[in-house]
Amino acid sequence: MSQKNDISQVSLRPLDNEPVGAVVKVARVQGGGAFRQRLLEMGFVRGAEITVIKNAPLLDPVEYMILGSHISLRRVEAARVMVVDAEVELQATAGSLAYNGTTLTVLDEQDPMADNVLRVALVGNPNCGKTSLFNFVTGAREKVGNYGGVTVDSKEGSFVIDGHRIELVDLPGTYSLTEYSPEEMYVRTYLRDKHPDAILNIVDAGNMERNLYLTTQIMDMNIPMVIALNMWDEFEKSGDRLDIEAMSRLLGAPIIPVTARDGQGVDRVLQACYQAIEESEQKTTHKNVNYGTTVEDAIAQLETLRPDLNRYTLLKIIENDRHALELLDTADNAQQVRQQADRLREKIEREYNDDIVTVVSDLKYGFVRGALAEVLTTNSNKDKKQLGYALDVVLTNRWLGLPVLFLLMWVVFQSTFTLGAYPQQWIESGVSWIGRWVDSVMPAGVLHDLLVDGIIAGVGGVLVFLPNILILFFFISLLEDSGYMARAAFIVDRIMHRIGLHGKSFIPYLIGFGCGVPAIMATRTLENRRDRIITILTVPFMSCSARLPAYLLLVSAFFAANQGLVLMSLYLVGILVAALTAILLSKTLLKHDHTQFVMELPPYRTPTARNAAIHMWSKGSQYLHKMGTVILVASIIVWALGYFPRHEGQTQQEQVENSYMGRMGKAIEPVVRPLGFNWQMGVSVLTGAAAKEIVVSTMGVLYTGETADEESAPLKEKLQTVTDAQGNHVFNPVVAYAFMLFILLYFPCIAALTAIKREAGTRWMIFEIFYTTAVAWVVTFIFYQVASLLA
Amino acid sequence: MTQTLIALFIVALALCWVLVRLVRTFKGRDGGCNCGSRDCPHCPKKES
Repeated sequence: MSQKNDISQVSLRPLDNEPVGAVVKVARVQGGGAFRQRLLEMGFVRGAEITVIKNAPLLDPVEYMILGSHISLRRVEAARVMVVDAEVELQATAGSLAYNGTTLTVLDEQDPMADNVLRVALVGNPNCGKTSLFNFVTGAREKVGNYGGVTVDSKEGSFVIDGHRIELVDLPGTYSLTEYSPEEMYVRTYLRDKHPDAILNIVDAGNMERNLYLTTQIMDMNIPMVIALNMWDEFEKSGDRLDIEAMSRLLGAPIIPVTARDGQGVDRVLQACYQAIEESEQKTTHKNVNYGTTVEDAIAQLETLRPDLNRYTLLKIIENDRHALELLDTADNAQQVRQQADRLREKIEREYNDDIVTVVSDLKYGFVRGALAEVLTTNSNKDKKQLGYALDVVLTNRWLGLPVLFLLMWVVFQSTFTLGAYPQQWIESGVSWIGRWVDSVMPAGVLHDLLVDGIIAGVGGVLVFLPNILILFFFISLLEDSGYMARAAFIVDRIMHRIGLHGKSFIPYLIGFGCGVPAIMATRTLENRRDRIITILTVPFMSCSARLPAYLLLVSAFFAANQGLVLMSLYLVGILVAALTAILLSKTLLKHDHTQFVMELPPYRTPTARNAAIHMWSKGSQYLHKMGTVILVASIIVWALGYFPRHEGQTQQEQVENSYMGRMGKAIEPVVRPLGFNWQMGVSVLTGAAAKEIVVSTMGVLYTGETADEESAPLKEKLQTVTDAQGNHVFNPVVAYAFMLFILLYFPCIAALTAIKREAGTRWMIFEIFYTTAVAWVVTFIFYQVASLLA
Repeated sequence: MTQTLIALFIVALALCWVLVRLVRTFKGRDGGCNCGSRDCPHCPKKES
């Protein structure tokens, strides 16, 4: 029989020094605090085996495999994990050995429901398929991505079963109910305050050990639960076998295998949810994890003082959890409960010879491992190198990772132009035809001018870019669904760390390339408030899709030979400015300590046509919705400002210059002249405050009357030919690029500013307005002046 | 004259739309967004 070593007798070493390919075992996690707890909850408990997979291209962070899934961890955090060789048999902690099965808790009589709405909450680890299932059940088109942090707020939908309508709430993914980030706090608070009638716990069948940790916490909440084992198709292909009935008896909850992506098994899940709710009214007991005599006694003793609290909360109080203790403060016996909890905690720590956080994590994982040992048979012939991770050999390779990332970005941008050119021409022709038709059937007059020069020119000018937007989001959807985006965060983490952020900020930045509003909301996945503020303030520099019409217009007009490169350069400038801003903020206004980084790397998955189509349709319909509302309204108002007041005997150009718009433009012209802009361009960026697409609409309206062509030429051609009073071309490549730089960097639209106000506060919103505009002016000024000298 | 009146009416409608959105944003019922996504918390709340 092999000798098990006492940990104090074994030479431990930090994980960060382990070479690629090493297989080691966790002995201990050093230090304290919330991050240590997070590591324990993610499976870094004594005896857990870790394989060092690879280093990121910049040697930090490092990718490890633990509990069957891939995690990326910075070296400085990995150094806190003390390990030994895999062959060393460690004396297990008392907690991890303690598989005591389950216990039954007698339930209190259920309070009558506050309302008549039946509610089921979707809870599960990040990236386990909750939103896929939600979309399938409710018919919603919520965004799904193969990376954590996509859902940061709850989404509600409903389904009907046996004539009963049940609300389904999609909550953000969380590894545990110990809140480490605002989104996890949201989940915990939601479950505590909203009392859903049932919880639908989505568990990744290929990663049960970690996923079931959360399940043990849900069990403690005494809420009826149904478990959906998702990605069942992949589990079956692996050759592993699971005794579902036995596992269901162990956990005291129905377990349904599903493949949410295709909808398989979803009907049974919904039926099980309804049944769980129906049966809950008659249920008098609930199955919980048995934590062993000492901890069970502790929970029982505390329960006599606070019989109104469930096991989860009582255990959290024993763990000295800050948020659980806040619940005590309103009670008369708060002090007594705190003192008793302290005594019980000390007793547990003495008996297990470890801190309470480690003890509880060990007990939970001990239960999970014990349960899985009874019900799960792993396929010994399974190829350990999942195909899903084989692509990482190239895509996250130390030397190839970054070049591949840039190449993929370039392919996406170039395709946007190349593939979008044909449908764009069709729409342009269509818009021109409509303009000519209205011109021919309607007599001259104010309404005629409003329709042709205002609405058709303004809205049409933006509508032509719809194909390009769709193509861009199609590619982004493919990259997201495949799992590549999580790799991108892994690759760039070291760079992010140098600028005072960490790889998780990459996800909001990525979303920001679509729209700043959800990107700003996505910062809720960041645990540290300063990280969130810095990310929020720098997200607007990620060029959103609303700016694309302006870029596409000017790039196609003045940079026909290098469209993809020029467009990519704009995005890179935005990223560079964001990085410099982050460095500046983290060293001045928002100094903060080193931020920890741990992130799961999901396996690669084949993107589904359905998801890509949903994403494209969602983006397309959002774009069209914007056409019909704010852009239409803005085009009308911009036209009116450029049309009135009317004066007899003036040329078209004089009329525009003397209009309200012209006067406004002339007033700000001294500010924009050093940037190479005329007043029309100055006014265009002003109107972009409502929505960035309106920059193009405004230019469409302002430049419509500039030429004397019989046929209305596309705006692009007008910009190429328009001249000033001296006969010089207004636009040339330098001016065009300067204009695009300004549009890239200046203050974001009202919607984004409102989101900043909500997430960061009014002061930071005001700061953002002034800071971004100042940066835009300075950068554009320097570029224009230098480029003009060199040109 | 008719054309002028209709055009001015349309412009007035557009201005009213802007005013209403601004007031709703100020009152917190509207986040100023126009994406049209069903569950967007920043789009104008639909009256039930």
